[in-house]
Amino acid sequence: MTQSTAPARILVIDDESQIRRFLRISLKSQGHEVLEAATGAEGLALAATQAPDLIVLDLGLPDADGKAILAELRAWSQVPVIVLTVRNTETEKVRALDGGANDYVTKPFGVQELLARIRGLLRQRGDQAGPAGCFEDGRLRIDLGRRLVARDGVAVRLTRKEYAVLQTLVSHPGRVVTQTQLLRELWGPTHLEDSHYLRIVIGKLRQKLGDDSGEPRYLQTETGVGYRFIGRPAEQAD
Amino acid sequence: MLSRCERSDRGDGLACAEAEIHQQTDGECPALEGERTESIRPRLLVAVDGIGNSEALVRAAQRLAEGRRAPWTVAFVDLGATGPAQRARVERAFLLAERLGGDTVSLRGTDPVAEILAFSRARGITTLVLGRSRRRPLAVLIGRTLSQRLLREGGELEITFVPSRARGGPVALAKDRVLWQARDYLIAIGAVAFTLALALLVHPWLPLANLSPLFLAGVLWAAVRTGTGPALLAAGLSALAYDFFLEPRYFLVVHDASGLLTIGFFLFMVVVGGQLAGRLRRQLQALRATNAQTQGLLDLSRRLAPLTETASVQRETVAALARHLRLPTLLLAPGETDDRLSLIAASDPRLELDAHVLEAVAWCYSQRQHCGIQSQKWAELPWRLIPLLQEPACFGVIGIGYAGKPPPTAIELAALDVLVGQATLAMARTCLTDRLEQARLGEETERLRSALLSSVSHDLRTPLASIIGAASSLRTLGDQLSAQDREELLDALLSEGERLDRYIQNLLDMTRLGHSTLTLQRDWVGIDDLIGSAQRRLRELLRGLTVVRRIDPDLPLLHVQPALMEQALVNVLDNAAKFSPPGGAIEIAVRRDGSDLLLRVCDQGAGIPAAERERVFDMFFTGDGGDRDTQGSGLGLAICAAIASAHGGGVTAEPGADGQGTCIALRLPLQAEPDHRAPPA
Repeated sequence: MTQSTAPARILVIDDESQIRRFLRISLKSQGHEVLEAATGAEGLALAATQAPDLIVLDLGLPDADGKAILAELRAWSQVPVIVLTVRNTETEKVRALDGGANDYVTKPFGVQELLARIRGLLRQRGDQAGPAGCFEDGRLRIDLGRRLVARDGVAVRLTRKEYAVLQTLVSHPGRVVTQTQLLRELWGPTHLEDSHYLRIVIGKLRQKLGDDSGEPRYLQTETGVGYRFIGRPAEQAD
Repeated sequence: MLSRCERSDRGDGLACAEAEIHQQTDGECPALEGERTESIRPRLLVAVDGIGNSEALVRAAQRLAEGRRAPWTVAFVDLGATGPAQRARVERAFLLAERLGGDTVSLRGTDPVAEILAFSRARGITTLVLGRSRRRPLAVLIGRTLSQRLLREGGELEITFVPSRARGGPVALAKDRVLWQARDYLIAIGAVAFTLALALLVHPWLPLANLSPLFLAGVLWAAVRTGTGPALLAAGLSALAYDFFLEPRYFLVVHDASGLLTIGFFLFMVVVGGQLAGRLRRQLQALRATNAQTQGLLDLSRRLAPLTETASVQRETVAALARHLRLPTLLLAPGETDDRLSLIAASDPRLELDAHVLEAVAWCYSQRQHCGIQSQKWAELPWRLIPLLQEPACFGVIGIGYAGKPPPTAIELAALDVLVGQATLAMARTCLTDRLEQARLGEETERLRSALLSSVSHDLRTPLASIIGAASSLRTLGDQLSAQDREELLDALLSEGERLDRYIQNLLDMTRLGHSTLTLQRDWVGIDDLIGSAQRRLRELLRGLTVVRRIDPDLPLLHVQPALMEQALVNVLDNAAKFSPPGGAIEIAVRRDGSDLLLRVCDQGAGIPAAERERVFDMFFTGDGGDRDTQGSGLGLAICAAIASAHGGGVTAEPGADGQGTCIALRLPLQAEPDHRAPPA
């Protein structure tokens, strides 16, 4: 459960010292090196000088709008960023994700949720060379290289859109992909409002992959935000 | 008692004036002594007839009233036979009276003496001021002049006759009158001529006795159409014509005594019948005029009666006035907080007011007096501005536009005042209702505020107490606790923290939903997805319970705000989990029901008494169980109901299957998906 990824340097930008303390303790326990910043300006300076592997950014900073800091950061860095938001701000989350954040965690959150997100992002960074776009959990097998999807050894026939959606989600394992991103990539910028297309495709995909929306094993809905591929590869399963 | 009578006969039929001043209670003549007691407040009534120089009379009366510092009213008795010139004279007298500060009243009836006396008694008039316009020697002889009758019948009144000084008026009037009456006489002669022709035509076949009703009919018709004079002429002519048919025929000589008698009866019948018919006609005309005004008033009251909001009363007033008067109408009213007037309603949205008119409107509002056309102030404007005055409040100003139209007559203005008065009453009524409603709302707000306070103090503190307790136990007793106890305390920390989070979420949602400006950001979403994420958020709470999902396949997507709807589901599930016995089952069933989606969440708890099933959706209602720990904050279901209704749906509480537990049924309207075809491949 708490299997660790390769130690990384993580920058936490949050004005709440209690949150920073809790994050420092938890992240250090996983072997990570933790840098702390209480303000956006301080955070940007550390990001520029210390070259962190990952940034945890609170969107509600007192000195600057989190999205502005994100935009500034994205001007010169592609470092993975997890934003901390509060509930009831779905549009805010989506804006941050579309503005360059890689994932989000809703406050208040449990540490296991944050660690899972961090793992997802760090793994992606490190595993670029891994089994390029390959997923296998003993039941479902997705081979993006050969465009092959099989369930219990039987090939699953997917339409082009279904496959495209699955491909986008699987190539960012554990990471949220916003609805807007999916719609733009798959249907083009004129169909950003046509979310019902996506709902239908996801529904069909779940049906074909044998997934359950109540207790999803592969495709998890992030209400009001987007989707996340949460399949656990066989070698990582508990 | 002091009595004075002046008589100055100038021969123009105008200047005869009589004055008789009855003493007031102190026995001194107030007009002469300049003193009066306050025991009876003097009130003057000036009766004008539009025949004499009514304006001179009004001026004289005003001087008299000023001397006595008495309020005064100008009255005109409309007998239903008023000619246009006479009407115009009365109008001028009325307008003059209004300018000089007097009231005006138009009475309708057939007997001017009775009307004037009835009005005087009703209004507590002490002094009657009259002018004399024409001499009626015959009427004087038989004691039937107005003044004689008033003196006889109005014993309690002080009656003053005022000489009219101007001479020009009545001469011009006489010309009008002659013209007016000449027409009537012509009609009378024509009627007789027609009757005669008819009689000649039918005479060979009819016995003589049957001809008299024919003439009688002709004369009656003339009497109905004209007045007494022309009717008498018609009667005389008819008698002569009838005589034609008596023996000896075609001679105007009557030999027979019975023939003379017949003619005599004939004349008498005609005079009496003509009088009666003439009175009926005048009454009918007066009734018609009154009826038109009453209709307008009735129409307005009927439309205003059911309205409960000031805004709709304002709109309806403008609409009804514009319809009734066929003139542009508008209403300006002060805002709720400041006294600045703004245009509330207009019969024509293109109406524009220049600065001049606005200034007049402000004056009208601040001075609480009408102004504009036909008044003392701002008379050059084509607008009549009337304050909506119901002491001590003024609800605004009504403006009637007369641009390009003939100016209003005093009678029209009086009728308009009555209509506006009616509207003002309606506004006063709604204003009172509004205030009552506000008071009720204030009370409700107060009740909610105290409920919120007690809820916050209880529901925030309870989990906090557990958190602080558990954390301090771990901190101080750490080593002495068994591993299992430590686990339990840690679990308590976590679950109480989550509970606190849910409660705060509810408080936030409540504030947000209570805001009337909430606009839904709808998106297409599957109900199974929403249920899934709601379950995920309640994972810890639902642990140990069995959740059974029965979702019909191929349900259409919902068009809702996903996060809000998820919160509604979380609250319903949270509620079900709270009331479930340990190890109980919660069933979530979703199906399509007509054009709605029906979601039912059933628990196996104790159930809700029938009487409380509606109230569980009230804010802060927590049942009578007493133990608030399990009852919760009383917010969750209220928020769920608010979210459902914001989406056009609803929530009900029903008893569970076999009468056990409770089912919360959430009903949401389904909307057609924008495109049912498969997404473009």
